[in-house]
Formats: sequence, structure tokens, C-alpha cells
Amino acid sequence: MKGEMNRMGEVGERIHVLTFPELQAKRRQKSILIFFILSAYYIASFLFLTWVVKLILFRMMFNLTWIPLWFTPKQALVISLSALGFAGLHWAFSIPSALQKIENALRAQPPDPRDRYHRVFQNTVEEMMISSGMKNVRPVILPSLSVNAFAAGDMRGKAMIGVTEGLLARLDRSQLQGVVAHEMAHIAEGDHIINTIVCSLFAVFAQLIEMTPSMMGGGAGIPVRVRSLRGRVTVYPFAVIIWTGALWVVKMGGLLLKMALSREREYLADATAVQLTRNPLGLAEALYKISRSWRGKGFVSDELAPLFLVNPEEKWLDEKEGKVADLFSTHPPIRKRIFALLNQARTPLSALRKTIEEAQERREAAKEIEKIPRWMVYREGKWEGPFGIGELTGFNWFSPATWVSQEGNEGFQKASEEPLLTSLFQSRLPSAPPLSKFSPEGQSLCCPRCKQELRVSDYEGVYVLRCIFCRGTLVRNERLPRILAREEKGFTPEQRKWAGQWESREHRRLKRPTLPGQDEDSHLLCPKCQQKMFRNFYSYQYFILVDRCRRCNWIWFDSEELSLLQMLVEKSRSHESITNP
Amino acid sequence: MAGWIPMIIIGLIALWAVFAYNRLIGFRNQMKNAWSQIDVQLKRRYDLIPNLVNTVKGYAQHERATLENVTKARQQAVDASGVADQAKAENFLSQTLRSLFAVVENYPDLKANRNFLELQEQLTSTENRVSFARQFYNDTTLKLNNQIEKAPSNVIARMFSFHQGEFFELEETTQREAPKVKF
Repeated sequence: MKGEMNRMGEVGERIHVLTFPELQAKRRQKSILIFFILSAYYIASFLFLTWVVKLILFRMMFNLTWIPLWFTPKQALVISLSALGFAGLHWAFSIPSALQKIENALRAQPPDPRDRYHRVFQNTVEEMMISSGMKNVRPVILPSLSVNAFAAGDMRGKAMIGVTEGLLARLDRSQLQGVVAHEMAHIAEGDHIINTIVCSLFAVFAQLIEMTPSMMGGGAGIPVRVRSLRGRVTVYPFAVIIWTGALWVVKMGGLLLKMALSREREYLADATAVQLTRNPLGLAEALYKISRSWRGKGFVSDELAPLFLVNPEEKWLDEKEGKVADLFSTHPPIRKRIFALLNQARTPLSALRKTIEEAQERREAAKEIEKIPRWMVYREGKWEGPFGIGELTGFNWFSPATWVSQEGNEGFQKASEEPLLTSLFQSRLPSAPPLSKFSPEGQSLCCPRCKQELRVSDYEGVYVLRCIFCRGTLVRNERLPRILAREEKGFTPEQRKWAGQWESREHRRLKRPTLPGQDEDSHLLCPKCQQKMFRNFYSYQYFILVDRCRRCNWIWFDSEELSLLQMLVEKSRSHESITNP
Repeated sequence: MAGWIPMIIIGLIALWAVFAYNRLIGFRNQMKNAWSQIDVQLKRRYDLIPNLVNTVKGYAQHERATLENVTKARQQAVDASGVADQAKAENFLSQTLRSLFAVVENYPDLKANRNFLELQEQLTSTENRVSFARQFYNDTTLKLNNQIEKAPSNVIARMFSFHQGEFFELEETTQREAPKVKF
């Protein structure tokens, strides 16, 4: 398989490379053609079904051979028009609140303006709106660890683009931009309109299939019994079978066409995405990364699958190439899409793979291990320390004029020049001015352990409150999954050791190992409402004790608990990602 | 009966003419809108820079020269008049910003600052927006020019004296690159 991929990469350099305007034109023509075939097929299948009904009624049930099975042109016209009418009715009823329904079904949420990752996403959507000239496109976030994206729109010109938390955590800016461009392309090319039309065409058949058993007075396969006026019962064993069979054939044919159209539109959106960003590599890299992750199987229902960037279901069909596999999929094989993009950038697959691996390494290296700041302090002619901030509070000789040097840094300065330490002196004053008067929560909150003011801080791009003394963290319940999805922060070997111990102990018995700096306080008070917080396990998968306030929706993590939880989640996630395709 | 056919043909041509005219107008308005969008985004960039300079100032006092350069370049870009002048000033501003972000690499505290990260993201996004707005302007101009030149809509274009739009061209390709941000 590897050899085959490389070969295709090389071929890409020799053959004439299609640029995006050519690709767009080609795909547009093809999808218009398929659309017309589909409409014709729809009308033809209505004629066919009428013929089947006639066959059953006039040949099998009642022997009325003088009624012809075929239609006069006038009859055909009437049937075609009523077929279109049916679809039109479906369409008319399907329009309102479609977006809302999709939003609810996927539990989509608006981006959090205080979240760094969410702001980047919002920015990329706005950038793509500029580059496509679209308006009224709303970014939404899907609270799922899977890696996928979707676009949806309605007839009134409103649209939305959604990405999962998992996608935000894994892709870098240019890759995210490629994905958003692809989704924007779907909206700009009017795919949601085409989708709605096609769906309403075929909803008619689905409804007919549903209605069959009640129409015929029994489940499928049960022979029809007709009681004549004289009370004689006649059984027509094949009527139902023929009717349902005909419906299924029609439906499957339609499905194949629908999928062909959907695949064509995916290629078109890829080409248009290149027009919007002028950077085929961003999307290619994104697709490559996504092809190796969980894409939301189980999270997304089948009806919504065509809306997504890649098929949430990882079917063998999806990755196989060949005529049969292609026919039964709503999305083209990811590999083909990647090659189409790579050809435009004249880049072989090996180079793409190398870029991604290097970026991954760089990311690993850049993971910042959180330093607990400690200072050397100059006292009576010599340097002492290092001391943590808690210890410094205890020294009565420690003043704003004391020389300090942060551990790991060369230079030294007055304690008053260190932003972290100045606050120490302020909080010592009898009437300490509130530091975060303007904290977005509307009031300053104090650490439930140290009773000192909590600081606003950025943890994995998420807005949290932290205590500078005990390193505890206060997180909003709904923001926690984002922290768990992201992997920006690194861990010290020491922390990793704890995580390992934790797991091995936890498997043996349900005894909780204690972390350094953790005590067995009975109850903490919620920093916001001052009620007792509820202490329980984070979940029954991760037995980490946390304190929750049910009313205010905050979770308090003691010093190392949050990073421990992160490490455990990360570990369990590494099992589920797909290995090298 | 014979009298109807020319009437129908004339009617169809008139219909097409209206359609083609509206299309041209649509493209022209879109082009104008795209042009004003570029200005909006440039303005956004000018507004962000003082904030950025102030944030960096707090951490990197030794880089006064770089910061002054940025402020100066911004002022030049704001004052610039005329397309060529503007392009030159913008170019200079992008250069100074790049050197500022290069300098920032030496200040780990600054790089971890929430405010700075936010500004950096906003600036990256704004740079992207500027270049995407230009790209969209060029794309629409291309569409308009195609309509004006291609038969048969060129007849309508000549009748109502539509003029071809000018493409926005950059002298240096480096200007398209936004200051790189590493995550």
C-alpha cells in the first residue's frame, strides 16, 4: 500500500496538473449532470411505481386486461407533475427550523469568547467569509473529542460552520483554515440547497416504504387478503413482495445517485477551498491528520453524516478504492482527495508526511512544562532559597525592596518589580484592594483553601481561575472537556510517575493515593456562593477526587489533580486513535 | 402567427439584456464592496498596533528601537495617500512587525502573557483578512472583467460603458505573508 501511494505521488508530477479553476469547472459540470440525471430518475421511478401498482391491481388482483399498463403522454405528464408536486410539498415543509434541528441534534454551541482556541476558530471563519464574500455564517462548536467539521445552511441565506473540540485541539492554524475554507465552499456553492432538494425528492420514497405495511394491512412479506363483497377471502401472496421490492430497487438506485452527487460536491468544495485560501497544503494536511483520528462514529447519526468534512463512519469502503467501494460512499476516499490537493501544490505525499511529523515533534518540544515559580532571595549579604511564594509570605523581613532572582533566570531585581510578588505585599495590607475587580465573573473569587484571591489565567487556551499559592485550579464545568481535549501543556517526569502509580493502584483496589500537598479536609466552601462543595470522583472511569459546586457549576482541582486527570485521559485516548493506515 | 415569432425573440433578447446588465452591476458593486473591505481591515490593523506596542513595552524595555520603528511605520501607513505610497508604507509596516515578533521570541514571559497571545492572534487574523480581502477583490475584478470582455455580454457592457476593474498588485511577494505565529 505504501508503494502504491508513493507511485501515485510521483505520477502527480508527470501528468498535467489541474489547477483549481479547471477542477472547479470540471466538478461543477459533472455535478450539474448528475443532478439532472437524478431529477429524471425521480420522475422515471414514479412512472415505474405507477406501472407496478397497475400491474398488481389490474393483472394480479382483478383480471382487467383491457386496461393498458402503459401510459398515454398526457397521463405521463400528469404523473410527472404530481411527482414534482409531492417533492415540492416535502420541500416546503422541510425548510423552517432545519438549522435549529441540526444544531440541537449535534448539541452545537456558540464559541466561547474567552477561549483562545475558540477565538482562533471564530477568526478563521470570519477570514473565510471575507475571502468568499459570504455573509451570515455562524461558527459553532461541537462538544466532542472526535475530529470532524460540518456545514449547514437554510434557504433564507443563514448558514453555520461547526468544528469539534477534537479538531481544534489537533490542527494548527493553516490546517484549520483549510477545513473552514472547505466548509465555506460548501455554503458558497449552495450545497445545502442541493442537499435539501435531493433529500425532499427521496423522502417521498422513504415515506412510501414506511406506509406500505399499513396500506396493505400487514407487515412486509405478509400476503394481502382481500375480502370480496360475498365474504370470500382471496390471498395475493406476491403483491406485497413485488411492491416493496419495487420500492427498494427505486430507493437504492436513488441512493447511489445521491451518493455520486455528494462525492462530486466534496471534490468541488475541496477545489473551491483552494480558491479561498490559495493554499492546498493546509487542507491536505488536515485531511491526512483527520484520516488517522476518530471522526465521530457514534456521535453523528447517519442522516447528518453527509454534512461532515469526512464520513464519521470509518468503513472499509471509505478507504478502499475501486468502483464498488466508491459507489456506496457519501464521501470520496480521503486518499483521493489528498492527492488531488497535493497535485495542485506539486508536493509528493512523503513531503506532506514529513511536514506533519516535524510539526508534531516541534509541538512536543514546545509543550511547556509549567514552572512553579521560586525565587532566590538576597538577605544579609548572601542569597537564600529558593523559596516558593507561600514561603515568602511567611518571612516578616521580606519587603518590596528585597532583591530577588527567579529560579532559572540570570538577572535579579527588586521584589516590587516582579508582578507576582507585588500582589503579595498588597494582600498583606489591612484593606487589600481587590486585584481582579474587573474579573469577567463580576466579583473577585478566593481560593477555597488559601482564601487568597484567585488569578485569571489561560490553561490550555481555556479561561480558568488559579491560586498562586497552592496551585489549585477552579474551572467551569462546561469548559473542562476542552482542557481534556487539548495537548498544549507538557508534564514533568515526576508527574508522569504519579500518573503511572495512580493507574496501577487504582486497578488493584479503589483506594485513592494522595498527592503531595493534598489533605483530607472534609469540605471546601465554594468561592462564589460560599456553600459547601460536593466532594466526589471526577467520573467512574477516573477516580480522582474533586470538589464541585452544583449550584455555580464550578469544579475545584487541588494542586496536581487537573494535570493528573489530563494525563490519564491522554493515556486512554492514545489507545483509541487509529494506527497508521 | 408569423408576427409572434419575432416578438418572442425580441422579448427573449430584452430579458437576456436585463439579466446581463444586472449581473454586471452585481459584480461592480461586489468589487466596490471588496475594495472598501480592504480599508476596513487595514484600519483594524492600525487600531491593534498601539495595544501591541504597549503590551510588549511592559516586558521588553530594551527593545525601544524596534517598538519606535513599529509606531513610526504605523503612522506613515495612516498618513499615506495614493495607492503606491500606501502599498510602500504597508510594506514597511509588515517588515517592522515581523522584526518585532522575532524579538519577542527572546522573552518567554511575554510569550506566555495572555494579553499578548490574544493580540498576536488578532494581528495574525487581521493580516490574513487584509490579504483575503485583496484576494477577494481581485477575484471579483476578474469576474467583472471577464463579463465585460466576453461575448455576448461585452455588447451590454459597451452600451452602458462599464469599465474594467484594476487588479490590486503587490510589488513584493513577501507582503502576502503574515507574521508567522508558532503555536
